[in-house]
Amino acid sequence: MSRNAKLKRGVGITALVMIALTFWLGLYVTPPAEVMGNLVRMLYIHPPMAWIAYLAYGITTAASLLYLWKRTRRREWDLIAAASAEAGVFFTGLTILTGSIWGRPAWGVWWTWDALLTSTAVLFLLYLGYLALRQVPMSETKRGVRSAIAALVAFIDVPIVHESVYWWKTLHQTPSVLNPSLNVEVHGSMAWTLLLGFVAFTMAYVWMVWTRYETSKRQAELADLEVERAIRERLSVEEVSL
Amino acid sequence: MVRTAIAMAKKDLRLEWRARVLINQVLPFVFVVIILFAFGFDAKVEILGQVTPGLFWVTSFFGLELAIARSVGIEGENQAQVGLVMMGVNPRGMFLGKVFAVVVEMLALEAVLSVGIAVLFNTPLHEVPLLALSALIADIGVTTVGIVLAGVTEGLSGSLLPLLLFPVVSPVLLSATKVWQYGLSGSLAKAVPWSELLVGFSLIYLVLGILVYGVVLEG
Repeated sequence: MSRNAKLKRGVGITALVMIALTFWLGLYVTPPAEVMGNLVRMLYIHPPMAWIAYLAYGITTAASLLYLWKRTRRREWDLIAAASAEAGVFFTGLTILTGSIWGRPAWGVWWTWDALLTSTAVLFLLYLGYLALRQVPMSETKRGVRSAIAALVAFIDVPIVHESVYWWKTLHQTPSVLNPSLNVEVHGSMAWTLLLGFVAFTMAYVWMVWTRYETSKRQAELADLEVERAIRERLSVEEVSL
Repeated sequence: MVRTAIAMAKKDLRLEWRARVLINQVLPFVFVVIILFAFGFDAKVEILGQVTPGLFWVTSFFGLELAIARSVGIEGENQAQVGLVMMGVNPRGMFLGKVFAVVVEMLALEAVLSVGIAVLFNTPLHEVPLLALSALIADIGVTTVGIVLAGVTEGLSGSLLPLLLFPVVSPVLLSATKVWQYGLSGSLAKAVPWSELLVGFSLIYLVLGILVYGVVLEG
């Protein structure tokens, strides 16, 4: 096994262990909250998942910009952008799902047309559109450029999602951690568990993107080899006929 | 850039004037949508009156999407766009010209649509200058990002454009709906923050479109 593969496996195992530890601390060790009671336990996974969604779309945008700029245009940036967007869609879906599970006992409904929820659903749809665009058969450069532009346009929604709780004074509470004053409103064992959740899911994101990127790169290299083989076969047939 | 924009806008408007796709196809289509909405709300005028701003902007969005797809589609015919790029025509001028032509077409369509809605849904039109100005700004916002995304999805599946476009322009449509809601009810003060949001988003999309349209043509 190469050093790279060992490192990737290490990241994956560490992420798995840390996520398991987050669940154990969140469910059995930390106390219930004064107001929210046991509902607070969702706090240890819901904000970290939302954070990963923001991070993933940020990385997709940065990689797309690097792909669009001709001096730095490389297949790798396009593949990283795609891999990160896939992880982002996965974590946005989980954010909506965990938020919905929390919302049922807290607000009495699985879903409400709150600004934050709606803008998050819009974000989810935007990147689903981005992934749908990538699935359409076209040349590699054309797909890279077109999807990079779509990623840039889609990223405009990310700050709207985050700021929606301030702009529209919604049902959803303001962020407990990622707030403008960076005043963390969680303390003690709850704060440490939340921090662990953030690190654990970030590690999981890194592992997911890394694995997806390598798979896509191998697929692209395989496609290149097939084209080269087809050209060689064609040339040899023409030589024989001459 | 300005000369290219004027030439492009003139060309697109002349094409529209000759083909009359807007009048013959898009306008009847938006009225079909309006009637479908009336069916959906059981033709109750009091409910239709309350939801008029939303219905107007959803219907306008459908019209805009068709106008944008056509505006970009005509450049694909006979590889006209390839010719323009090969001749080194200023992409920003092309972009602004296309945006101008679509916005003019949509303003004409929305003027007819708003009168239709006022009559069919029994909704009197108050604060017409505010409604018209917000329609202009919203059309600019939707068209700028729409032209970019239509370029991105050109030649691909037809369902991709609405899938990408609607989520992106939803802040513009939401703001425009709110401005119309307060405009129709005569509450001008309440319309101010939504108007600011509308201008902000439309401006962001306009700048983004000007910056990336050259790359869209390359793709």
